[in-house]
Amino acid sequence: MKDREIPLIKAKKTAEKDVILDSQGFFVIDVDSKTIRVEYYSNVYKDKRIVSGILQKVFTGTKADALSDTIASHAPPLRPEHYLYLGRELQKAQLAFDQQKKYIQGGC
Amino acid sequence: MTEGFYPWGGEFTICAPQGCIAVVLLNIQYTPPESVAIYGPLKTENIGIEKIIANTISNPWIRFLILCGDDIRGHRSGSSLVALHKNGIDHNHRIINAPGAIPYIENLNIEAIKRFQAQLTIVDLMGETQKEKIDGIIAEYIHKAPPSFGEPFIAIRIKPQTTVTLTDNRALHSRILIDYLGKVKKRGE
Repeated sequence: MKDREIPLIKAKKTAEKDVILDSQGFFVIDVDSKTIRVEYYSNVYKDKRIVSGILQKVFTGTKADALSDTIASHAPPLRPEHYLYLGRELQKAQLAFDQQKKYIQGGC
Repeated sequence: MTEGFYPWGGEFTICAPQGCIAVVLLNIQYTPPESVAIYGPLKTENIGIEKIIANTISNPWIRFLILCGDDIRGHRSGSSLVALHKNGIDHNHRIINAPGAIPYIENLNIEAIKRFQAQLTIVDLMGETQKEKIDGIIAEYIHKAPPSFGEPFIAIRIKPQTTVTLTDNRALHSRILIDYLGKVKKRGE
């Protein structure tokens, strides 16, 4: 049997200036004492740049997995890195919620 | 008592339902007295401002909007909020003469902005960070005790959506059930 060569790829964070914004929109995550709240906005463009968003849907829950599944089935298809970012942030949001600590949404 | 008020959730704290003051915190660690109606931080000059408008006009008892702390660098959200109250928006939805980078109002209609301008008086304490001074000015405005502006103005309504899964049994009759495949059976079987 011939040896298979599997690529081993070292992780590298994309610089903020190189992040491609999702044309499908963006999410704003808030945590209070009762819930994690995720607002989904479609982009508003002026002169070909994103300047704001139109609120399209609001998701609430207390668990990152439930919010992830629900968002995936109710939001339009996102860029893969956007899904991964959202998963990371929702997990951070759940941690803050569970420990009743302040959550500040991070950048991508 | 505050049910129906503050339709657009976010990072704010609700206090006295009939308080006449909303406090906008700009880069400041300050907790206003419990006698205010609501307080919270303002970060962005677009959606952040929209949330403040939608939530303050939903409670007609709020008549003063006090801005304190230091304006947000780059965004200039506090100054953009003052500009909105003074000048409104142009045909492109941009706040007229706002210093922020992207001061666009996209989720509220012109009636909501007019209501905000009519209902609220802005008390601009930007640059003030001393608790005693801010507390004193809040006490002064609470003492004015203005009347309610009238009916709440609900600029945005977030409606709970019921979701039904395909495995749900649907009731058609008090004694029978039908499942998602159309199979009928007696209740309790």
